[in-house]
Amino acid sequence: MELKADLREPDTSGEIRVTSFESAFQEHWRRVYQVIYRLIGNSAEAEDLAVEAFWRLHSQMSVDRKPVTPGWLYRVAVNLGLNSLRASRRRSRYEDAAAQWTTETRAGGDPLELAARTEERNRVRSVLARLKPRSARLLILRHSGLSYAELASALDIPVASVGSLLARAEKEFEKCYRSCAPVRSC
Amino acid sequence: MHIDVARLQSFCDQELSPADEARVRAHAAECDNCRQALETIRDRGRHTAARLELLDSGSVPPTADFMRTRIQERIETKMEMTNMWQTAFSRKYRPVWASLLVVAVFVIVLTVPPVRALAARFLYLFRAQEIQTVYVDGQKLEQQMQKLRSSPEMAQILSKDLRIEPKGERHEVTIVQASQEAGIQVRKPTGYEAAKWFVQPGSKISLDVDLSRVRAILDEMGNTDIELPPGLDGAKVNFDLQPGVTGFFGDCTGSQGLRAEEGRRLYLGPGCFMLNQALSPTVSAPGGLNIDDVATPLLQVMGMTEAEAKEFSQTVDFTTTMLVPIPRNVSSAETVTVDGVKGNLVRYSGTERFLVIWIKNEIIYSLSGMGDKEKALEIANSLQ
Repeated sequence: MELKADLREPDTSGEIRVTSFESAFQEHWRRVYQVIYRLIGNSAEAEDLAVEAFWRLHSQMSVDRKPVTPGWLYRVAVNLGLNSLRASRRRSRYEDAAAQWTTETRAGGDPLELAARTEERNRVRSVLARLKPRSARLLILRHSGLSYAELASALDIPVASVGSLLARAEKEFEKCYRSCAPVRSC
Repeated sequence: MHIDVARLQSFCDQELSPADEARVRAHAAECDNCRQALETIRDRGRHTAARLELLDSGSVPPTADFMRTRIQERIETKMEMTNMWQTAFSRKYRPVWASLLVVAVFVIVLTVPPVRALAARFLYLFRAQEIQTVYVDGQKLEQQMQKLRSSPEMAQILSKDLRIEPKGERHEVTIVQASQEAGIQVRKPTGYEAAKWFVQPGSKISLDVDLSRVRAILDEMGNTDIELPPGLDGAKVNFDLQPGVTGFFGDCTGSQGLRAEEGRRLYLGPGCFMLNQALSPTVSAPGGLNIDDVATPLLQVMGMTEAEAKEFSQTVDFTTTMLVPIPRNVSSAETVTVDGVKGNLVRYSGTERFLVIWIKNEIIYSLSGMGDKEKALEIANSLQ
């Protein structure tokens, strides 16, 4: 992910800081939304949580006047998404599945195939909810396009260990995915 | 010597420098072990990526403008205390309101002033009759609220001094039920069909003022110079929130207010209007208090200087006026004639959003939505 020049202002520790809320919004809102959506699969809720993430960014910048990095914003986003994913797994997930089903069947397509895909998505999300939180965060953020340096900043880990942690997370994901029953008893 | 997993993973993720990448490639060409390990990592990466890609489907991202507006709403909602009798004492707002109550020394006594004295000699009963907007320093107030969230003194007040008895959860009703439950004749704008009605049952709030705790909190907020009237110590304040009715009108598809009861989803889409109506709340407090003594520190906490606060106190009759705080940096207010009485029109800078608030026959009305002044007043004036 390329950061625009106006967002880059190395502080004494050499980290990139967000200097303008507006440019941070323009630069990151879509990806923040996607990170959350991938985790929870519900557009309306993803929208709410993305608003929440940017509201927190705004408070952090304008009220607490603390330096903020784009990584911080993504950490907030992925945590909001994961918390909601876990909470919704405790509740019924039929509603979400039904909502998605409706969206996709309206768009056309083979109902059987759609059902299989919905099931598959449920399985992936249930795997993510079961992984170690750090692994789940790494996978989602990496697959949302964050670089190793950005992952390190977002998750507060040394950049040198991102590779091995990612390798471990993917292994963990694969193992859990294979051991999962296709539906939701992972 | 084999290549470690971290480097192989970085290679697959294209995170190595060109020189390092060339070294890994050259080594793997000659080393079966590392080539195999590389293949395993690559396959696993592809597999994971393919699974995670499934999660994108069905996403209906909003537009940038829509998101930006919603975020602005969220930022302003935080500061907006005008619709608060609806949500004021929800768990979420409790610390904010408790601090206002306590720190500002009964914001509510001030904002909902006396109409008539109760029979009891030492008690006032307060009920608002008109509204006066007061500009507050939103940023300063917000900073102070943030500090309070972690204050142990505040925690004490919340757990010991403040008691809140909600009378129920917000629920959807018909207009007939709304009138019955709220005890008022519910009105609606002409020419609009109500999408939904909700009733928020009232609640009772009582506060025992512990002056030393209030003092400690004021100090914590950096208001060391504010004087508090000693007569306040041990005072009991009771606040009776009446049930409120909320109606949504117009085209409310995409409006968050409709689908959730939680405070964080208050967004109204364009073409959707929200009307709140409730009997103005009543407050009882010890009769011996000099209201102006209490008013000045409150206004200072809200961001006025002592001189400004004193001057303001002289121009406002706190016994009949409800104060509506308006954050100075994001909004502006003007006095308007609405529904046959004097009211206030608040506009939020950079947005099309408006809020009209007025009191008629002891009922507080507030109407919010998007549009210009004419639109706002047209709807407000059409209530039947």
